[in-house]
Amino acid sequence: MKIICLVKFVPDLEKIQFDKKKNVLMRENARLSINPDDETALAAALKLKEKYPETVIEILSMGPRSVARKFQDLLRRDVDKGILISDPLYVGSDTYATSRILTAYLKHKKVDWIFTGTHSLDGDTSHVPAQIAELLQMDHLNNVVNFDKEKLMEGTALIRVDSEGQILEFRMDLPGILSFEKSREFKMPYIRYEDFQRDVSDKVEILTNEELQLSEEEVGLSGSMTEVSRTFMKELVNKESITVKTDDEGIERVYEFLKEKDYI
Amino acid sequence: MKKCLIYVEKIHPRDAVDLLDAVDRLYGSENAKVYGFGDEEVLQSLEGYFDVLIPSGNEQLDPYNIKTLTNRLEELHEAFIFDSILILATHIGRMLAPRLAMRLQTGLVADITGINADGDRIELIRPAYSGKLMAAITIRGTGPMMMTVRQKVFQWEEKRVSNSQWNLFEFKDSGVVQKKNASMELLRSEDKEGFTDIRESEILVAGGRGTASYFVELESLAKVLNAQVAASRKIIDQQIAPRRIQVGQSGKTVNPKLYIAIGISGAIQHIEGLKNVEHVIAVNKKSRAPICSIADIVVEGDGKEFIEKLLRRIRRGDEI
Repeated sequence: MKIICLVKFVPDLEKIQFDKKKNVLMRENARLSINPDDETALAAALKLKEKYPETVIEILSMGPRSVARKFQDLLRRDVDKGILISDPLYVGSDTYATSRILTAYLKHKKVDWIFTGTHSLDGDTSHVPAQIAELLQMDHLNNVVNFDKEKLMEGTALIRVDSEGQILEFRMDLPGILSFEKSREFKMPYIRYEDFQRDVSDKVEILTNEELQLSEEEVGLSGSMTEVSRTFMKELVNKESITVKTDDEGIERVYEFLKEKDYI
Repeated sequence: MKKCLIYVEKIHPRDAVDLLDAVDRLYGSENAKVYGFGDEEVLQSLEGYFDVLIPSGNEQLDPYNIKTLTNRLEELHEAFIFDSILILATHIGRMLAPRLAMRLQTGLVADITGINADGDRIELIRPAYSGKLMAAITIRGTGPMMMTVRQKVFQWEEKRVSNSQWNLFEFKDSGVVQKKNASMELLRSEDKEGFTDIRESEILVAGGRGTASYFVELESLAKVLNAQVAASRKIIDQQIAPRRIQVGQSGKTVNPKLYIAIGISGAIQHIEGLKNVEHVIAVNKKSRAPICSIADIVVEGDGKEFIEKLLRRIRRGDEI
């Protein structure tokens, strides 16, 4: 059973500052870390491998070469291989182009299940997994919270999905794509002490367009179907407001307001 | 005349009607011919809103049969060549829309919160970088222009046409889709006990990062006000509350009459989740937090103290 985990490294958004004069984001100081839902997906794969050691786990990511170090931390767990797709040509790719780049790699691989996250902290469009599913003609489910391990290994997964007010149960035949949502069920295991400094460079493969052989028109901004034409700060409408404190007078004012407007 | 297709999901027909507001902002309602596609019985309740109603087929199509849905929407597009396709950003819509966009080789913008149209130049607006700023996005290529819209972001009430025209489109695969043959199927669904949708509530008591240590206390205030508890993303990220009560761009868009925001600073991504809220009370240690600019009353101080004191005041009532 082979599982490929799609993970993305996202900037720590708290650290991103906006330069109002230049109208640009200052991303240089922002540290990259694995997207939480993608981490859940990888944790789910590792849990499966714990029970079925014959499972092969490969991580696939796309991003700048600077994430290679973070990438190695993931590989110090029980992951067999890590593929990092990185090429300056791919900068500026939207979800459409990104899905096509990732598929250029995936279509030549034998894979049973693709695990990834539902939401991402940066764009949060959730487009890429569904678009890869279309390109590979696979089934796909968002908001996966759990699955039956034994059935999944047998090739017909029973999948639990958390959709709004409902818990849904699906059957899906392999190959398929499961987009996980952060859940208590799957937590990333710690790196074993003896593995902290382990050299895992032999597990990392960095692929560029040299290997993927896409035309320049298919990637980056020219391969994208959407384009950010401008960014701007939203001006909030200033309401007439009164400011009070949490003293008796302030609370009385709030209480009167609630009564006056018929809320109590 | 611009042609727009709206996918009408069985459990959200009213929300699909709200997408007419988006159509109006794109082209002007009178300049658009709007096609609604969905289950026949659901479409029947939407007479007068859409120009053309297209039933999804003679069998009940499993809404989770997303591959077949994609095939059918593709067929419709080939037959009518739409200028834009609008899909609600529901659980199904978020799986369907990207697949369809890839099939049609066109651009899709997720979770738009606004539209800027200047003739043929159309910008779709959504918050970016977790609401640090807004992005205006244009679609390249020949179209159709695709977008997903979360429930309650737009609102539309009035009927547009006196009679909707029914188009009994014959799909190539009509009648041959057997549920059993599908490589994926929904086996069962179970309603979560005690689940209430924060979008249905007239009053919300919402907590942000500042309430992390006492978030449960919000419930007592909510109870007295007959309100529901909501939360900002910080609380969800720390797994203090479930995602279904999250307000904001990555959560839900809500339009209660009264929104009490406790310990919420009010990043754009949060404010974007508030539409047509009549009154806002913001409780924050900093009276200059962004949320305070949209508040009727700003309470400068500790949220926990505010809850305790206000509860005491409400319980005491008018007896003095």
